[in-house]
Amino acid sequence: MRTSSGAFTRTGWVTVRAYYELGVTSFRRHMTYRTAALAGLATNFFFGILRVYMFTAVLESGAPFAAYTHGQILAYTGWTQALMATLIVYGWFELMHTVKSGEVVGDLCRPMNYFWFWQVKDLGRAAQATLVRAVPLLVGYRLMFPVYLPGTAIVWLAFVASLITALFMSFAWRFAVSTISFWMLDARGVMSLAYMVSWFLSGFFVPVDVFPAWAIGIVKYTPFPYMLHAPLQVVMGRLAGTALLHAMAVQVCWLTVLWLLCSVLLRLGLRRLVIQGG
Amino acid sequence: MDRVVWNVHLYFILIGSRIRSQLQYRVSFMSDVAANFVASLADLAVLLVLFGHTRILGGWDVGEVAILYGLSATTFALAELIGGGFDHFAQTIRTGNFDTLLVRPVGVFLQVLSCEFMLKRLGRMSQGLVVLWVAFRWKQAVLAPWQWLMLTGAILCGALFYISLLLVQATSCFWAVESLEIFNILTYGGHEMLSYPMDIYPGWLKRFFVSFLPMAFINYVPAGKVLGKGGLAGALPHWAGWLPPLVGVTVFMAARAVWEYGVRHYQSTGS
Amino acid sequence: MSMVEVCDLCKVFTRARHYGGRMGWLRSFVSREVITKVAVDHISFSIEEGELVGYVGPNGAGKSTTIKMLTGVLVPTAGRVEVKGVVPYRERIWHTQHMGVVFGQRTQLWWDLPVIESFQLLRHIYRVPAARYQENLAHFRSLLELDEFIHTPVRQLSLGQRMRADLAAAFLHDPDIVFLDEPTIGLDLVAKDRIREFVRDINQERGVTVILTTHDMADIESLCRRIMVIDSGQVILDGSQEEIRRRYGQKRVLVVDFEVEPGDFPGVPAEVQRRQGRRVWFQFSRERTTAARVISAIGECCAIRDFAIEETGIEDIIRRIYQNGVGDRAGVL
Repeated sequence: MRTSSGAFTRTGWVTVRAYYELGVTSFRRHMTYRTAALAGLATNFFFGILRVYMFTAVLESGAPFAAYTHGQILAYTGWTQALMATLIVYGWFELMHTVKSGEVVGDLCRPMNYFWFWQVKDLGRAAQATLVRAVPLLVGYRLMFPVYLPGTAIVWLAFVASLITALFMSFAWRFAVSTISFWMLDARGVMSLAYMVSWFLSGFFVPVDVFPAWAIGIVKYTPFPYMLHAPLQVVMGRLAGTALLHAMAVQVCWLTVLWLLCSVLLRLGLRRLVIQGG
Repeated sequence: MDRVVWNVHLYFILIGSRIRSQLQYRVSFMSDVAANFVASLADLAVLLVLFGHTRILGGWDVGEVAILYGLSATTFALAELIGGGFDHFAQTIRTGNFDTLLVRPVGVFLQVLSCEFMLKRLGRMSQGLVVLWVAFRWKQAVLAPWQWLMLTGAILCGALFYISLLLVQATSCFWAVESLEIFNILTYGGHEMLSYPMDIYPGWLKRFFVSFLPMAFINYVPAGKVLGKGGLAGALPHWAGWLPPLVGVTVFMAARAVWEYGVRHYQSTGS
Repeated sequence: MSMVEVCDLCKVFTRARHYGGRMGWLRSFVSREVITKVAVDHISFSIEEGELVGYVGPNGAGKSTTIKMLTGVLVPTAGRVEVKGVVPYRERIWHTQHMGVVFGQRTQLWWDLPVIESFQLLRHIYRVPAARYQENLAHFRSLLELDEFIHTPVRQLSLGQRMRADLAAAFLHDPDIVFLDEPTIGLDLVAKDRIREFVRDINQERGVTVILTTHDMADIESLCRRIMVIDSGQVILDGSQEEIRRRYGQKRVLVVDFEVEPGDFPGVPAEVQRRQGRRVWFQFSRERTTAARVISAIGECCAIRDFAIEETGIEDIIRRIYQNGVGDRAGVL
């Protein structure tokens, strides 16, 4: 990350341009997987419908359920199903595969910062996922259910800002988990476990604020709720005013911490890689 | 008859070699099973979180829903354990390995079935069984022989149902480059859906999964009969609880026919 | 009764047409238009028991399609194919029981199992009696020198080792006919030799019928008495190696080193192909003259120090056939 800012002053826009092209190429490459996108969309949609009725059954039983309204819980299921492909907190193994195949050596030889090399590629992927998975799903959802949508532009703006921060956080987390593959020959199992924990604790399955009180007490000190739960609270109109500003400040803090963690892990991991000779 | 006996014998020989090769790498095997066990914990955690807020869901209490969940998890894991070869069939076609199956003097169905035995699914399966055991203890239910029989039939025939779905999905590889991932809606989606009582779903979903694609019979109907539930399960006659074997076998026969058609198509086009 | 009987065999492939352009994917999806490709076009031949036939042709000529129809993997579009008197795809199980195959490009063995365990599984699949299995295994172990890697998982084998293991696997159940599809692809010279030796031995000792497809003409040259050449789905040449040599290999080349740099060669019944200092290459036709006559004519022009005669190899002949065809369509000799 430091080299990147240094490179920026040295070679100016040429570097920015290279990263931009990399991201766009990644976007285009992902756009070619049409059938997979369609199947993913349909699956997400179906799961969303099941979850709607699951949560509706809870609300109909008369439980307070952290004061969620029906419209909000519809919004919650819709947004989680929509953003699943964008944030892919449930698993990202691309980097691990390059370590396994040895491709990583070529990637490290590029005149680019290794972290940002992957970050822009992931942004391209996320853009594709948002376009072909998230947007159609939300449109379909809105046509089918009375989803709660915020009325003011300022809330939308806050949501987008918070979501983008969450996207960067999710990537940093996935990158950090992926560095395990520098140390382990077959890291898939351990990585899956880490992803599973983060997926659950970020509120993909059930909103974090309906966890049992003891669990909330622990989870709120981890970065995970800020990868999804926090932005969703904004768009559901459950987080506003000073609480919103506070949440966004915490997001930025966690992002910084994750970036630092990535840079430390990467440095240690690369040393390890060099010693092993790839 | 001799042919059938020999095929069964051969199946166990081939599966035996699959199991031995997975056990060779003990560390990787254990971590796979553990990961599979934990991965399926999330669904259970959701169930427990929801029941932290309510005592009844669609007319079923936590123990009863846990029984549905346990049945669904066990059934699905059993299907994936046995039918892994069909799950990964797209790769078999892509690499051209299907041709090597066609030049051996054994039916191709048996060969694909026996080319994979996903031991790591034991993780999810054991979890499902543990949940079932705990749930029945919690309900303090003592099962009569007919209830045991009905539930066992439901698990085995439910697995047959899922395998049939995997089989149809695999058959689609004879036409498409990628396997039809849309089937995940029925396999993974079905498994998710069946973890909760059908009573919480709207009419069109119920009708679809009772009459058109009778997945409700995998666990919901037999469990409802065993537990003496009302709702949709109560509305069906008692003998409906004995339908899983019929449903499983019928669906499997249909899937087999589709598969044979696919193999013939492959032989005439060579994809 | 002949081992293989093929009559007017055809295979036509069709595939959906794909469109380019912005909305191309939609058009491809909706369109019912298909493109047809004739892979095998009315071929006929028969192969006797115990023959060792080389089946050659350029890439995409229809070789593998023919092999796939003979092995029962593919169903022909038209025509008749019989192996040992049965139609392969119709009685696939019976047919494959008496047949062996080696695909050079991919292994028949289990990727993650030691070679010996793959053999044991094959023993069960082909129901080989235990005694016969032990006998064959012992025989192949020594013939193909399998012992050094028989307990190694297949994925760790070198290409040459893997091919040896695959060959043994194809012969374990005493097949009457074996198809070898590029069995020497990617191997070094020593490994190729070993494989050729094995194939020759087993064909002679056991009378197994072998059909060999390959791009390496050295395989053909050292193994096959009979050669079939296929191009664009048709058999354009079918005959014994000697006949083909005699018919298409009339051109011989005489290389002569002279004592001094030579001038012209009037009256020599050969064509100067190339000159390089004191060395000259003469080409002449076997039918029209003899080597002795050419040499004596040259000797009269200039003093000869040394000479050598180069025959046209089967490789050159086949290459020329690929490039120019056989001249007349009735290529069967």
